[in-house]
Amino acid sequence: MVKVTFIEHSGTQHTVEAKPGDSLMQTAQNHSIPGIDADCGGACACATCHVFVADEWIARLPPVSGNEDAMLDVVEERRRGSRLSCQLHADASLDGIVVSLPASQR
Amino acid sequence: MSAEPIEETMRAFDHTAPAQMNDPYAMYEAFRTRCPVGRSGQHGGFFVVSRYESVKKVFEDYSTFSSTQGVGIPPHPYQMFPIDLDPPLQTKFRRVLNRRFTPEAVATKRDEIQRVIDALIDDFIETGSADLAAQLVRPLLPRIVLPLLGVPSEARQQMSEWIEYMTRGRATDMPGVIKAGEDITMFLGGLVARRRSAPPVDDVLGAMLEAQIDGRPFSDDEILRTLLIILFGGLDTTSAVMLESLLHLARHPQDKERLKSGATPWSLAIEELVRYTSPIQGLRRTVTQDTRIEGQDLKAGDWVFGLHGSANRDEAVFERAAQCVLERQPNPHVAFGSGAHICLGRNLARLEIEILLKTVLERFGDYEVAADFAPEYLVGEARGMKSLPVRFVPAQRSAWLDAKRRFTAEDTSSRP
Repeated sequence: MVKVTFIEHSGTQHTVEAKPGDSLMQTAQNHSIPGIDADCGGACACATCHVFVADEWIARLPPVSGNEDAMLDVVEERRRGSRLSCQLHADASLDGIVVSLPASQR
Repeated sequence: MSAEPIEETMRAFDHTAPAQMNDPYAMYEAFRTRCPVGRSGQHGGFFVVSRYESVKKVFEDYSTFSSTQGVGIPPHPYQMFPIDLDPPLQTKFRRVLNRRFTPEAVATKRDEIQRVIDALIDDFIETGSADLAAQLVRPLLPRIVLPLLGVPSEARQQMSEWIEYMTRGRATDMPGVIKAGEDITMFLGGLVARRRSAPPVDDVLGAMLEAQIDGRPFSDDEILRTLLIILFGGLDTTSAVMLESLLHLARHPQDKERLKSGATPWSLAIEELVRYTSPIQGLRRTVTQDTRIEGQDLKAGDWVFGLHGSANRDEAVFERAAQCVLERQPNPHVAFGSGAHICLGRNLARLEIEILLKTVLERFGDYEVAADFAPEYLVGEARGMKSLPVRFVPAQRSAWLDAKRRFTAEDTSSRP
């Protein structure tokens, strides 16, 4: 299992176990973490699963694809570390990853 | 089904043909098992995708299966936003609209929806019989959706007629559809212009007038094309689920009882009724680059019609798919669509359906449908029952009911 910590905009932290292969979006939904709406179900098509990846983890992630980049341009608060959590898949190399959620996702 | 070769059935497939679509499910099953991607020769020719996984792929892979050439067959004469756009432009519209349709946002409409439903039921409840399509479900939705958008009450009847025409007439009377489209566009254009110079109002139109896209306000044209699809989306589809649900409950008294007693949770029942109805039977995408699906080569420019109605009956995903099983869970249906274009109004639809069914069960829950009733459907991308005549024991109007609800609320601190 892979440990993932989601920090809500309010500051509330949730550290949960992700199944290897699951996306961080699926993981958040499996654990009913508020703030990841994921309307499109993981098709990289709605920009409602935006997260900020903690600095030390940014470089360890796969690069942003063209589609993801275009969708990130739509979110309200894009900054360094902005990713769509449906595009990040849990594996051993991400054990301990920390992501926080933007204010615009309730 | 006739015994003709499946390719023949497929070549003749036409979702606008009442003879095929009054009960399309045996045909869909034949498609899924024997011709999962086939080609219809109707309306200029298009591929038909019927299996759950492939339907999902068509609606989720927007870079291969685009909406920008339209999503209807035959095409709508008017491009509408954001349904006829692809991400990321589509997403910029949805960001503004989604907030108006969250579960929390639509919950504020609960009392108004209840009031409209009670008033419509009052008009027939003392008579002991009604056509629930003409007297309850169809008049109900414009009264909820049009004010939500900002359409004034005096225009609602005319608006409903235009919409009905634009939805149904494309296969038979395109000039008439274009005329209805011009009338509705003219009306909405006037509405947008008036609202631009009026104080802000807290409705969908108000939200679009205040929002920005790419650092500028939305244009009148963009707003108009958005209001149009919300109008189309919110009426036929929801009424289709309501009528199918009412018929199902009339024919399955044990399901009625389980809902009334609370044994079956409403949240599960509504998802199943939506799956079972599949009010949108299918929508088009246009292939952007040569691709292959279920072994079938598709070329850029080909039209592909993904059948939500068939995906939702796919036995590979849903056990006893042909049956309405109110407690079904999980229920990963695609009746609200899948991918970027998932139904904007799905939370509103769920709420409207729940309040309607609860109120009918509460006020004339003994309603019956004639044993020989055979539903007839209006068909197209959307499929919904034309009429639903029922009989019931006459009951009292809602002034009496309001008093009873208040009493119950005080008694138990919860509404029935």
